[in-house]
Amino acid sequence: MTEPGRRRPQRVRVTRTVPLRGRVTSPPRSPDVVSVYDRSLRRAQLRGSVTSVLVVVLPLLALPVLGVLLPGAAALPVLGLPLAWWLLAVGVYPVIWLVGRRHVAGAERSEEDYRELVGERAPGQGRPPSQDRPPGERT
Amino acid sequence: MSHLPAVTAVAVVVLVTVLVAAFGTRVSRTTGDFYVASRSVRPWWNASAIGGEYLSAASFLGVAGLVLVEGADALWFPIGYTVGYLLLLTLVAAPLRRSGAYTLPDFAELRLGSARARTASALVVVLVGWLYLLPQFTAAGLVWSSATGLPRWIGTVVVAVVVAGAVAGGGMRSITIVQAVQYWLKLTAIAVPACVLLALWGLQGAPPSQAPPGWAVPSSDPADLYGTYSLLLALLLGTMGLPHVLTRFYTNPDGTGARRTTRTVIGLLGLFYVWPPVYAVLAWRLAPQLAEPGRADTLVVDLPGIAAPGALGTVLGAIALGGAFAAFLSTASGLTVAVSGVLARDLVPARGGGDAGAVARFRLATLGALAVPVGIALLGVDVPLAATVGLAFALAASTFAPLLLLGIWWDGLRTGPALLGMAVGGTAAAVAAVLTLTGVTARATPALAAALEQPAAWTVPLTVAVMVVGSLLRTARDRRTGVLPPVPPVQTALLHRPEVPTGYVPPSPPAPATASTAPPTARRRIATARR
Repeated sequence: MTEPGRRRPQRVRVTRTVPLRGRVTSPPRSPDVVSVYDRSLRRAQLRGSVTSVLVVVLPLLALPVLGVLLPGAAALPVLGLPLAWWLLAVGVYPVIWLVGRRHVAGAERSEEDYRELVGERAPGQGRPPSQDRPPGERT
Repeated sequence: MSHLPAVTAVAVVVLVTVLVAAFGTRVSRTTGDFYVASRSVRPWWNASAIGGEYLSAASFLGVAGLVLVEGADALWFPIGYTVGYLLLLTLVAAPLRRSGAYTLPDFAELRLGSARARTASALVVVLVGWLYLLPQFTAAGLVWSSATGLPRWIGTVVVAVVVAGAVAGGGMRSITIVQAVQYWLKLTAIAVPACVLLALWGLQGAPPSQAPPGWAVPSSDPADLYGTYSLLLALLLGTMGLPHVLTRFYTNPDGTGARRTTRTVIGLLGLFYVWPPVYAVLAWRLAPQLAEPGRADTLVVDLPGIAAPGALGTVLGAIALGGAFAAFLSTASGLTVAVSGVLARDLVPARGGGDAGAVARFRLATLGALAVPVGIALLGVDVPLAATVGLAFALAASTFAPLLLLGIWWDGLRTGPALLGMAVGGTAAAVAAVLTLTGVTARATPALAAALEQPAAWTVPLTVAVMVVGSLLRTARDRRTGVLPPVPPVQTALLHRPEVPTGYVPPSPPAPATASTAPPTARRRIATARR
C-alpha cells in the first residue's frame, strides 16, 4: 500500500450489502431486527398500561358490588343527592384524567430510557439495536 | 311562529358547518396535501376534533334521557365512553399510530398479512357503522319534530343531505377544524342552558321531588349486576373498535402525539359528560312527566322550554337543539366517511377508470353508506338511542378490540384463528343486536333477554378464546410437525419502538433532497394517502 502501482490493492470481503445506517428509524413494516431492548420496552409499556387500566377499572367494578353490600353508604346524602351519585356523575372523571396523565408521563419515560440504551450515538448514526452486543451487558 | 327559533338554531349550525368546511378545504388545498398539513395539527386541536366526532346523539341526548328513566345505573354509560379512551390511550394509541395503519382494515391486513383479513374487517366496519349511524338519523327526526312540531322526516333528511354533501364533496375527511369547532359548540350548547336552568332553580327554591326514592342510587339488585358489567365491558373495549375514532388518530404526527392527544380527549370528555346528568336531575325535580321511554330521549331539548317559560326557555331550547344537530352532523359525517371509504376501497370491486373513477366510486359509496341507516330511520322504526349505540359498541368490542389488543401485544396471534375469532364473536354480537332491535327479546326468559341485550360479557371472551386457543393449537401443531412457525408480518415489539425526534433527516441511501427532508412518518402518510 505504501508504494502505489507496485502491488494490487488488497481485496476486502464485503459482508454487508445494505448499509445498516439509519434503520433505527424505519417503519415496522421493514424486516427490522427486534432486539432485547425492544422486548424489554414492550414489557415495560405493557406493565404500565395494565397498571393504569386496573387502577381505574378495579374500583369501578367494585362500585356496583359496594352498592349491594353497603346500601347505606351509597345512599348517604350529600347536597341533596346520594354519595354514589356524586361519585359516578362527577368524581370519576378527574380520576380517569389524572391516571391518563400519569400514564403518558410514564410511557414517555420508558421510551426515553430506551433511547438512552440504544442511542449512544446520534440518531441515525448508529446500527439498530441488535442482540449481538457483548454478553453480560445489562439491559 | 313557535318553531322559528328552533329552525334558526339548526340553520345556524348547518351554516357554520358548511362554512368552516369550505374554509378549511380552501386552506388544505393551498397547503397542497391534507395529510402533510395535518402534521402541524397540535394535540389540543386534534383532541377537540376527536371529541367533536365522538360525542354523538347518544351522548348529547341519550345519556340524559337514560339517566332520567333508569336513574343512577345509566351513569355507567358516560363513564364507559370515557374509560374506553383510557384503554385506547394505554393499550392502542401509540403502537397503532406507529404501525402506520389508517383504518381498521389497514391494520388487519398489515398485522395478519392477509387480504381476507382486510375484507372481513371491512365488513365489520360497515356493520358497526350502520348500527351507529341509525340512531343518529332516528334521533335527528325525533328531536326535530319534538322541538318544532314539524314532521320527523325533515330532521332526518336535513342531516342526511348535509352529511352526504360534506362527505361526497371531500370536505370532512381531513378537516380537523370542523370537528374541533363542533366539540366546543356542543359543550356550549349543553352547558349554557344547564347553568341558566340551575341558577333559575336555585332562585326559585327547590320544589319537592317526585321521583321514586331509589332513583339516584345505583341498583342494589344483584340481578342487574350482569347488565352493568356487560355494558361496561362493551363500552370500554368498543371505543377502540369504532371506525371513525381510529381514523382520526392518523392525523397525529407520531405515536407520542397520539398518546398526548388521547390524554386531552379524556379531559374533554369528562368536561362534557358532567352535564347530561344535570339535565336528568333537573327534569326529575321539575318535569317528571318527561320520564317515559319515548319522551326522555329529547329531554335535553325539551326541558328548557318547560323549566323556563317564555322567551328565555325558547332561546335555551334552541341552543340545545343546535348542539344536538352539531352532534348528529359531526358523528354522522365521521362514520359516513369511514363506512364509504371502506365500501369504495375494500368491498365494491374496482372497475378501472383511474382517479376520476375512484372519486366517482367514493361518491357512490357515500350514498350506499347512507341509504341503509337513513332508510330505516325514515321507516319510523323506534330505536332507543343509547341502547342501539351500546349494541354497536358490543359488536366492535367482540371483533376489533381483541384483534387490536392481541395484534399489538402478542406475537403469537395467527391469521386463521384471528379471522375465526372475529367471525364467531361478530356473528354472536350481530345476532344479539338484531334480536334486540326487532323486539324478539321481549318474549324471551329474563336471563336470556339480559344476555342478548348486553351481549359483550359473553361474546368478547368467546372471541378472545377462539383467537388465543386457536393460535396456540396451530403453533403447537407446527412445532410437532417440525414446521417453523412463520415470522409474523409485523413483529409486535417494533410497534412500541419510539420514533426519532421530529426534524431528524434520515441519512442516505441517496434520495432527492426534497423527499428526505420530510420525516419518515410523513412520507409514509403520503404513501398511504396516494393508495
